[in-house]
Amino acid sequence: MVQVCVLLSAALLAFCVIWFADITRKKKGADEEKTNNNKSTALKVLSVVLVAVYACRLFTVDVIRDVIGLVPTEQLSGFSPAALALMTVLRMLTNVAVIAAMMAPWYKISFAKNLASLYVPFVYLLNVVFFTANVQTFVGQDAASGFTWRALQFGAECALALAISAVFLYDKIRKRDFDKKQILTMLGVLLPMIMAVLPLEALRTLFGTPDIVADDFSLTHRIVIYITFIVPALLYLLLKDREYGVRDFALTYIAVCGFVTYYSLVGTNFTVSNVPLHLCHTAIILMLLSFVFKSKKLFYFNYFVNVLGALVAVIIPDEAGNFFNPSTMQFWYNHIYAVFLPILGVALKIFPRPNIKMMRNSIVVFSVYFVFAALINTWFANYDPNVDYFFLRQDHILEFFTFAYPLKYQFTYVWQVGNLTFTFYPLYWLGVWVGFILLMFLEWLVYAALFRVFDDWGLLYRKKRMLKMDMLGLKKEMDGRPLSEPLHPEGANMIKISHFSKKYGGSDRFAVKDFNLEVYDGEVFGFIGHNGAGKSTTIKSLVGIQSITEGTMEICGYDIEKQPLQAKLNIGYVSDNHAVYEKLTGREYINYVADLYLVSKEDRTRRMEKYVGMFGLENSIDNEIKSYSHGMKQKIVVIAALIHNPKVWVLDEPLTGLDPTSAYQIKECMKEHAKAGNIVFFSSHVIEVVEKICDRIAIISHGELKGVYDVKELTASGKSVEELYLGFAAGGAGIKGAAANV
Amino acid sequence: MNKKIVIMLAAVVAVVSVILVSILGQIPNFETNILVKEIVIEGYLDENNNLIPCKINANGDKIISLDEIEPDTILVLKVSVNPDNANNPDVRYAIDVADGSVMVSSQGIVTFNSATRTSAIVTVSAVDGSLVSDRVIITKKTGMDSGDFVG
Amino acid sequence: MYNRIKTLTLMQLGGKYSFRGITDKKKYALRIMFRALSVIAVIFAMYMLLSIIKGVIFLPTGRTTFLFLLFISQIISVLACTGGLMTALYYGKDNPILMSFPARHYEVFASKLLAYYIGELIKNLYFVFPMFLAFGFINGMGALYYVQSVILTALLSFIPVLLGAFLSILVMFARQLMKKTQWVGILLTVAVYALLVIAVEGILGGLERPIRLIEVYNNFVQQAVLFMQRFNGYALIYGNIVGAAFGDNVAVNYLILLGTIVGLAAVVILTSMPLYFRMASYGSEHAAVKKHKHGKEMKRRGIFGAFFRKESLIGARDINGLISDYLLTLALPLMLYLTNGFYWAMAPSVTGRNMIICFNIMLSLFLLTAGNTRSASAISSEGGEFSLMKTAPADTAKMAWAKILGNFIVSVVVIAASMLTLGLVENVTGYDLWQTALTLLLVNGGHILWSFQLDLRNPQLQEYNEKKDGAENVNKSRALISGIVMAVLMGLVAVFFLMDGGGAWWRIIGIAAGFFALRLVLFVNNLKVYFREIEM
Repeated sequence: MVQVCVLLSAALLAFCVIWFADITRKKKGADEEKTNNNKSTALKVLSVVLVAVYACRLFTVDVIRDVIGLVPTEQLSGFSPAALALMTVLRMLTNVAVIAAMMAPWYKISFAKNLASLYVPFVYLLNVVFFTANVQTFVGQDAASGFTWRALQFGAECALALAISAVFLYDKIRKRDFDKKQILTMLGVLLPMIMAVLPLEALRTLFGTPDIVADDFSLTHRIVIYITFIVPALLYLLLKDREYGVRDFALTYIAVCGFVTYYSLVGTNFTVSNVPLHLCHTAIILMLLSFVFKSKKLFYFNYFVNVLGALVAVIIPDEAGNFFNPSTMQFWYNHIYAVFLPILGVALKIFPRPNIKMMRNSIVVFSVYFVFAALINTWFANYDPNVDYFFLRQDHILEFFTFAYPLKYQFTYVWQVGNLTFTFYPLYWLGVWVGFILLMFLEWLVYAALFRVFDDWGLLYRKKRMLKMDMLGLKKEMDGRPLSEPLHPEGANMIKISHFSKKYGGSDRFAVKDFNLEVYDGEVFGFIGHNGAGKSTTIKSLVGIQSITEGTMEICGYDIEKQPLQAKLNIGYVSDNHAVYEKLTGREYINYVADLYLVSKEDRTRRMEKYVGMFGLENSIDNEIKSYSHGMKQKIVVIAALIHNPKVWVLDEPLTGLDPTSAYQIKECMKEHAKAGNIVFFSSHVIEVVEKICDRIAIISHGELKGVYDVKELTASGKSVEELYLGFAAGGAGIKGAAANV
Repeated sequence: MNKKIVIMLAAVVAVVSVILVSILGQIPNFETNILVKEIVIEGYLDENNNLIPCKINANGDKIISLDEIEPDTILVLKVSVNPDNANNPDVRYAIDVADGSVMVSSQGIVTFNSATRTSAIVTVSAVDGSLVSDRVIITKKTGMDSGDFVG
Repeated sequence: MYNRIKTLTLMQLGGKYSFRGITDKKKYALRIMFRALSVIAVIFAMYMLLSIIKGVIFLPTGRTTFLFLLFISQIISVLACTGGLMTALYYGKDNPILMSFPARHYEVFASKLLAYYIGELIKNLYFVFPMFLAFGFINGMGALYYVQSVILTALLSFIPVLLGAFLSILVMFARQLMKKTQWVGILLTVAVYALLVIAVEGILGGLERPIRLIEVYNNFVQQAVLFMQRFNGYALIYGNIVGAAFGDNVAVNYLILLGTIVGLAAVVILTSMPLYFRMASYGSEHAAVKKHKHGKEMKRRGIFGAFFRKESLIGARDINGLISDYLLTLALPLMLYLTNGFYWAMAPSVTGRNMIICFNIMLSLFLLTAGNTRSASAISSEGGEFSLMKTAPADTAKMAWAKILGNFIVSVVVIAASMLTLGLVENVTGYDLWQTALTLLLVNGGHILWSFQLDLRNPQLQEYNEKKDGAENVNKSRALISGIVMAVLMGLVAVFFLMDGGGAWWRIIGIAAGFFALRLVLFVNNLKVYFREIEM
């Protein structure tokens, strides 16, 4: 009879919701969205009512709690062990179902809808089938035989939950929304969801009280500590790439689980010593409120203060009872959730990363709580000697800091007011407060370090992925050709720079903008410009020392960014900083460079003899480079750059600081190298040199290419490179009549 | 931060380590070691922190007799160790029940997890190797108890 | 002359201290106030330390202790001043500029000494002066004592500067000799090491077994005081300083002090000053021209071989740099031998054995990781030559392995030597030795990779290109800090698991291996991603 009433009530409620939403749509001509909004509002109202109804059950204690190891108690003497096991399992399933029914109307995600439409009705139908047994497990067989308000409450709960789930199921059927993958996901996640809100007595009811204690770093204690860290890590990995709604649902679910597990044991049996004023007990309420109402103030108090307290409790617990005891289970659930839930809230971006101002606010709130807890302790101690909120009255903290005993007991002040005695430990309290604040700052540092580490790892991972994508892109561009071939074979004998632009670091300004240039084999090409014009920037990007912001650069058909190794094999580079390993000899240095460029023994011997002879370094080639003059160092660098006979020889201001003889020798080398069909590309300030040895020149000013000129043509037309250059340097357009073939 | 700080740190840690090992990590010198000579279980503390002393039965055993034993009944034992200046006055608590229905913590708190258990024997012994101990029987009162105690 | 000396001194001070550019009086005052507060904080800290020494350690805190500490600190100060003045006088980067000024060489010399004295005085304001005050507070001294503290701090600062100026000449000669003949440096290092070994053997041999520090504490305090009194017998002028401060024969003591200062100044003027210019220009005139033999064949090597050979050659030709980098690491076997000699002379219990293992791991890692600063400047030390890494057509990331291989080799050798040395200590079992060795190898190996990664992510190429050996690298500091943190954590992990009982070593080695694996993965990935992003 009762079951029928429940089912009818549920059906009626569901019908009302659906009819109301549909009829509104038909009558008023409202669209689908408006209908859904109305339906959603109605469901939310039902869920709020369900919260209130469920709260009545949450805050009362059930007789099945006293069953140990499936041995029936006096009040449940008619239950067989199998029946007790069944009811216990049903209670486990119902915890998840009621929370799902309460939360589903507030989340527009398919996971919540699947839970509400498929899981909730299944569980609550079972509850309806076993309605009488359920009520008996609440109040006992004798009490359940008559009228009991628990039956009324449970009936209302079943009706509401079934009504909510019916609406969801109706929508699912109407839309034919049966995604197998999502349903399987829901089933896969069910077990962890059940574990997250296990009835505290369930394990003891099912398995009794084996000799397991989680204290003093016993095996069980260590496993619990590992769980405290592993579970949030797993949750983070599973949820980090999900949409916001899923992440929010998951964490709010856990916050609700924390509240449910804590208050299912407390009931209404409050005394002065078990009011939820312990830091971790307030955390349970604050976490629920912060996740449900997205309150940042409450959340960051948890984040800074409660996480720390809970972590200390996990590592040095003050609960040494049997692990399967409900009170022990409550202790561990409470504190483990208090440790990781706030951290996940930030990691999964439900709440933003805190700043120091939020920490300061948390310190203020904590201080207020601290004073309140200290005063409450001293007042309530008159009624119950076990009062010890935040461990400020008894000696739990002192057991680990025995040196502080005198601090507490030698500075005790007692104040008598009538029958009431108020005992104060000012120095001890100050010490605890200071210690906690210091730990909070340490915690801030740890958080900051962890954020840096995770950001860094995240960036590393993304960059690695980009590199892989680049390689795949290149393979696609090569279109089946081997990667050792040039990307653009038509450019095999040239340098091609297309729309090259370069920006440094955090600067907004382009050092070089939209630079285009082609240099051909057999040329000595000069590159001139004022200080800071962008010459070195262009050259360094060309040889691969710096990255390219925009555009492309190709050497002998190889793209310097996509095919760097192949491109560099064709380049010899003389840098502008003239840096050399000073502790090596000239010969060792050249040998080292030859190894890097894979030059054979015969080739390197032959070339070294040639160039050493050419530059007159026979007597010093086996001396340490630190004894060389500037000119000698430059010659060594030149030899090293030519040891592999590169197709493209790039020199950045090679003649700076050289004596005339050395400068002459290097210029001759450059001409000879170009004559052999290679490219010589160099930058210089010395206009006369450029004019004498270059075939063509490019002028760059303020990051922009001003023009490319044939030196012979320029000279033939009676103009000098110097005049041209000075024209650009003065901010002009060069000189009239100078034809630029850019 | 430079290497001078590392040298100083290493030097400080080396000195501190020698001191710590000498204080905490040496085999005691039994010639000057003061051992525990007597352990006395005086009774238990009630809710008001008052001492309820043990009674002695006809066999000379110490007894703590409780009116009711229910799940989550807690008993805080009061134990004294003589002499006061024993080098290591710590004691170890043991109970003769293995199924977890009654347990005793390292602070001497006896917890009854089930109403089915009506008695247990708690033994308190010294940990400094002196082999000194005391024991008490904790039991639920029956109507017959009153005449059996001698003190 | 005085004006020129004053100008030169102010010029050198302007380069050192950061008050220039502050025109705002408020900022100036704030800066002064901040420095004053720092001094007050140091005074307070010293006072607390002395209170602990008096109330907890039960050592006396009167004249004897004061003189002992002052004397020790001034010995260190003399040594530091000798080294510092040698660099400032003869290798100063500003020497070419100062020498080219229209000033006589002895005026430059005097200005350098004066600038150094002012630096020493400022240092003493943060150390010696607070020490004076702290001892004054704890001994309840009168007002005159505190007035004298200021005067004596100022006068006392002359002594290490003048002594350093004199001794720096001798040290310079020795240094030049070592530069010419590299084996002298190695011989000296070996000789010092041998002396230390003999000293350690002497200390350990004289120990009574078993040592019971608690029981002999009173005796220890007495012996410590006697030792301080004996040592103070050699304190010379510092005895007069403390005597004056505490009001004994004030006039006589001041006369002796002033006389000593004047005498030292005279010695410096007669010896160091005339030799100054010659010594200062010695470096640029005598750049060593070293010829090396070469193999006739130009052998071709692979990329890694080329990198490793280059690193080996550079390392071998800079033995002093190598020793400087690895000095602490090389001291490890000796340090472990000394500390374990004490530990095992104490008849440790099982708890004691566990603590010993914990401290061995901690101390070993302090010293091993200090040597990893070489890896923390591996990329930066390339300086301008890093362009070769960027332009070479090879997987130049392999240079990373060549760079750190040397570090690995040194640490393996030192760890092996340390374990062999420990094996000589009675009661240390082989079982614990190889477990300890494995743990150290894994943790230190991970730290080497971490140190290189720090430099990879933040290379100081420009700094090294400009300043060469004088470059400062923030990555070295970070490597040192991370090494200290690893050492402490690993020690705590070891003791936690050892106290727990069975299977402890496997857990410790497991954690060490996990750390190494994590650092290896991060190292490889960072190298792959960030090496190519380094720009010059």
